[in-house]
Amino acid sequence: MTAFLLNAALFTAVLLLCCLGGRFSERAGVFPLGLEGLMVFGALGGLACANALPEGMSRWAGIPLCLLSAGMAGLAGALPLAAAVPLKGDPVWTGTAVNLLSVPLALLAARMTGEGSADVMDTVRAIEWLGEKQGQLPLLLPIVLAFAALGQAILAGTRFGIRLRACGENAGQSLFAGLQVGRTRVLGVLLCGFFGGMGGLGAVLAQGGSWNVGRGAMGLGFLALAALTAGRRKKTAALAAAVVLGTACALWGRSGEGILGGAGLPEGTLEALPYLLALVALALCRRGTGIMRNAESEEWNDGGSCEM
Amino acid sequence: MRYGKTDRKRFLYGSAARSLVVPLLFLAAILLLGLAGWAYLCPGRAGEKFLVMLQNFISGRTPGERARLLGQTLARTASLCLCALAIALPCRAGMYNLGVAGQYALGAGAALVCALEFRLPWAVCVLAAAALGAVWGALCGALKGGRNVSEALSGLLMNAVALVLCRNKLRSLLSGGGTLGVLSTGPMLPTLGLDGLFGGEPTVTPAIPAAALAAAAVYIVLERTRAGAAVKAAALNAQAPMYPDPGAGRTALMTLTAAGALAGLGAAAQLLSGAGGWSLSRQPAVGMVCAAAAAALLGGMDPFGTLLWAFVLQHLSDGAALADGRGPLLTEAIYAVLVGLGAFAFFIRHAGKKRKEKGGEKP
Repeated sequence: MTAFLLNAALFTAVLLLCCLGGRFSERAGVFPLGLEGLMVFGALGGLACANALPEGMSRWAGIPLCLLSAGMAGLAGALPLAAAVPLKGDPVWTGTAVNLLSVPLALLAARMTGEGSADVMDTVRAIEWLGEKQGQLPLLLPIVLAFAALGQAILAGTRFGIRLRACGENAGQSLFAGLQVGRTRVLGVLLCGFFGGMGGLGAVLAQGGSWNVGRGAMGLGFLALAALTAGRRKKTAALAAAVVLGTACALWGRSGEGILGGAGLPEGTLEALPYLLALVALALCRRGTGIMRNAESEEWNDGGSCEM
Repeated sequence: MRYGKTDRKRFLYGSAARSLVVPLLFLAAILLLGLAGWAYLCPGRAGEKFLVMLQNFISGRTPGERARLLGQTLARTASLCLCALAIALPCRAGMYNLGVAGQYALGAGAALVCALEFRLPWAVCVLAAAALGAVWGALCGALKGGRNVSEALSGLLMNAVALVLCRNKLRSLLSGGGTLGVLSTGPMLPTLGLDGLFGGEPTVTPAIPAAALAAAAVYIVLERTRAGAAVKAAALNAQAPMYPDPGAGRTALMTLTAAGALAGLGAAAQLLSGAGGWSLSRQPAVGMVCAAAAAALLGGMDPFGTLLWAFVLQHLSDGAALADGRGPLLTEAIYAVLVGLGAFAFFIRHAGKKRKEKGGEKP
């Protein structure tokens, strides 16, 4: 039971971090559909850093380096999404492109660095760095929660956060108020990549000692997006959605057995449960924000005032 | 008569230039990316592999082998074209059918279960695949039309559910019940003598002309019918689904249902013609969607443009697979980049129209 609770907390923390990353982009007026791909890029960067660090290095230097490299990899993956803002690309197709590109690139990287045609990457070194042991509180959990709190503080309590929200809510008036709308939106999208990348490393480590690269970030990015959309711009509602979805992810567990493994449920039920719950949550929160945000964004882009 | 700056602008924003320049730019991008990819994967033999990728069936040693390879490419093109149409049709209604992977997977699952478990005739397998794909698309459409859930997000979530269901069901069909392996029905569809045109290749079936007919049917429905006008009208007002208009909801439902059926048919065409199998180690739907999205975007969401690009991309995919075992992954990555480029090109194609609407295009 303790292991299940820890798992649930870890999945929830990862979803929260990704949700927060998505919130930066969503508040900037760009629907963050590429979050899943950004998580894969982040996981790839974080694992590469963890495997490259020397043995005798201090953990207090190694942990921030791993997380930072995951964040930077996510940020690099977000560059096409950021480019779509000034170049007036379609955010949905650009996000889809990032999602589609991430897995083959990660697979190619795994096959180039691994033995034979293995589609599995070893995460043991990274888990050692982040100090997780069976039945103990993983070090990743407080770190992820601290980053989530930091992100929320940036969004809610800083001048940048207020400007970001203003640009997302009414770009035209923000422009008249003298804000640099394009630059602010690009920063929002890049921050989404940074937090999404760190969330990706957490998502991979939450799966256990190996990462099946072909499965990407196991759909956690889409779940985070669903929590964000179901929350309808209210952080408490998004938090509640993340807790429910994180717990549902933990029910399936790391190896597929979960705590309800012997309950006689049809095969695949627990694996599909988080996605079904996310669909129900989306259906219950009528009049989602996605379409309105896209419509506003398009209107603003049509105005030709996207110069940064 | 002098050729001035305004004339140059008018030419650059004209529809003819856009139709010509954009595909040429994409072809150049494909060639560059392909060469760079092979240089990274096989530094010593990049040029050779790149040539094999470009040549595909032309690299066959005898005319018979070349005909057979062309037949295989055409058989896979049929499936890719149907999936690309499943993306292009909702896009004309202003919707993103990102759930096409789930619709394709369920169509494949239905076709395989009907063929391998119940030993049903091919026609029933095709109908089952189309029906299951349509149901999955209809669920997405109902969420969009009834509850205004973003079809992109619901489609992605439903993909995950469909892939889990499909994997668990198909695992039981594998001998030994393992998690690795490829399920295939072999050529089940009748060839009707078409195989004779391609060196006796058994995967050449009526699915190929059927895919071309499907593209023509989509074009006729969109351009010549009242339902098509309703579909295109839905795309003109992005905020229409925000209001309780039963007509807009019905259009979303019907469009996504039709798209789901097309994706299911694509899966049936691929598996029942024997042109491909279903790998349980990695979902083939993801690679298919990657190529289908690229074909639809590069074709400008036009049915015939989609058909043409589906052939070009399938030709390159098959060539890459002939060149090296890592070829399919490389082409998948290239197509993903093309989807990203297509997101920008979609704007380029419509830029002239927008200028014209605003009165910006003046002589």
